[in-house]
Amino acid sequence: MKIVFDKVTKNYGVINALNDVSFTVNKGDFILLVGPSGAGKSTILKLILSQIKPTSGHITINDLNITHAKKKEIEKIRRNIGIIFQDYQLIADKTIEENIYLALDIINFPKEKILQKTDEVLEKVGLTSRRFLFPSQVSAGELQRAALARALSIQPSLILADEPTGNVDAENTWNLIKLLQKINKEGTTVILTTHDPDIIESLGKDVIFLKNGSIVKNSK
Amino acid sequence: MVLQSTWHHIRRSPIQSFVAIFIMSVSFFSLTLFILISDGMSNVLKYFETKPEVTLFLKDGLTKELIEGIQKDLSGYTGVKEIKFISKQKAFDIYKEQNKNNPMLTEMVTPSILPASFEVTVSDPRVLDKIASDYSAKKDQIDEIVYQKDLVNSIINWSNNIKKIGIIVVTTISFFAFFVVLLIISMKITSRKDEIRVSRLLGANSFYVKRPFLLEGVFYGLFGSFMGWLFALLPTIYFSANINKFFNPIIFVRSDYQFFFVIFGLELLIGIFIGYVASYFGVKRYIKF
Repeated sequence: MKIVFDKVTKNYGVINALNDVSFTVNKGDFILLVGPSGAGKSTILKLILSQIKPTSGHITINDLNITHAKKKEIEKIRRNIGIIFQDYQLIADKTIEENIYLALDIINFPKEKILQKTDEVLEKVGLTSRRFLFPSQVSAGELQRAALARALSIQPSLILADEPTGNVDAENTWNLIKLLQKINKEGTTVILTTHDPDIIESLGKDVIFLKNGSIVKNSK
Repeated sequence: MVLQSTWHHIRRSPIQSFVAIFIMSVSFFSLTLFILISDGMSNVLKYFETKPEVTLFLKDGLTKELIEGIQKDLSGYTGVKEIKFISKQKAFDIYKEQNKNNPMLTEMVTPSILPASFEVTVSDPRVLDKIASDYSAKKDQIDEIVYQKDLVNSIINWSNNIKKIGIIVVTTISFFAFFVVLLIISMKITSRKDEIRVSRLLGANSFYVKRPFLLEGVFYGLFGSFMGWLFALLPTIYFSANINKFFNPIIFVRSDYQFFFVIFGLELLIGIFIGYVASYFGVKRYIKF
């Protein structure tokens, strides 16, 4: 999935969340969005998901200008994006397995293959034994892996991970990073927001540094 | 998956779901009773309307010639179908037959205390008015005139009042049911806002997230109408023999199952409509993303 931000500005009232930001993410890239809180990392992810519209500028995903895209086109794009939210956002009264079912049902995954696909992703993230538990019954690390399983289940072209390591210990952090690296090597584009210097240093990937809504450094 | 989600919503808030089904059931219980009572009243009315009769009770001591003269005079009216003379003895026989299980009542009565009468059946009910008015003036021959017009008018009044009250009650409860379902669906949407938002971010279209709530409203209508119909019908069928005995010889409660299923079909459609429209307003108002 190719993403192009062209002079994108986003204001929330008088607050300037993004200021004239331009960058390109090519298919198969692993991009780190780095910056302190309020730098605009989450705003970029929300813009990619079309949760919010830019105040000015254009965002293009696979040659489609999503700034003026129709609802149906946006829904189609979202079905190709696996999201790992900062607080995971698993549905509380659905089991881990049902959360994955839901994601697969939304993309119209063949009904007869849903169970097989669920088994596959749960095994990949090591949560097979936790499949019938509710989010409130598992640890933070397991929640993180469940969110990853939901994101992976739809075989996305792009994974957006919004500070997914913020609530877990070092071991779980590195397990997730390793899994994301593996998925990226298989051809999936990954955009990861973080402010963890260890991750930035050890990954050595393309890094976009943000501060006060502007790109201060782009190592791409 | 959509049915699973709908069932999930219902199961996760059982008290709200119970209230919605209960109020729907009450509404359709009232509607079923109202239909059954209206149908019974219409049978009563039909019975009296199709029996256009006037009974002239004669004074005691009339001569045979005078009685024959009355009969001749009655047969001269256009539209008279049948004139039946009930002598004192015949009246006594009828009385005995009607009270055969109560010997106390028959022992004390003799043919002499019962009046003789003419039962006049007509093909055109309008002629009843004329006979009644002509003979009410002949006080020396006629003791009393029993004319069913008053009874029919009284039944019509009762029937109309029952219909009016029924319509008001059913409409009020239906509106109440509508707003209860609307309120419950709205509350459920509010409590599942996060789930709806996450589903939308995962690529679900607007209809996908609305569908379980719409189906939930339809379920309340469907299940509520069934329960209401069943709870009204079961006791009615159970007591139908007693009710019909009370109205004998009129059949107040039909034993026509096709009629009951027609009511059920009609109520099912109304229930689905109320449930769907109520939940539609709920999702339209609260799911805006």
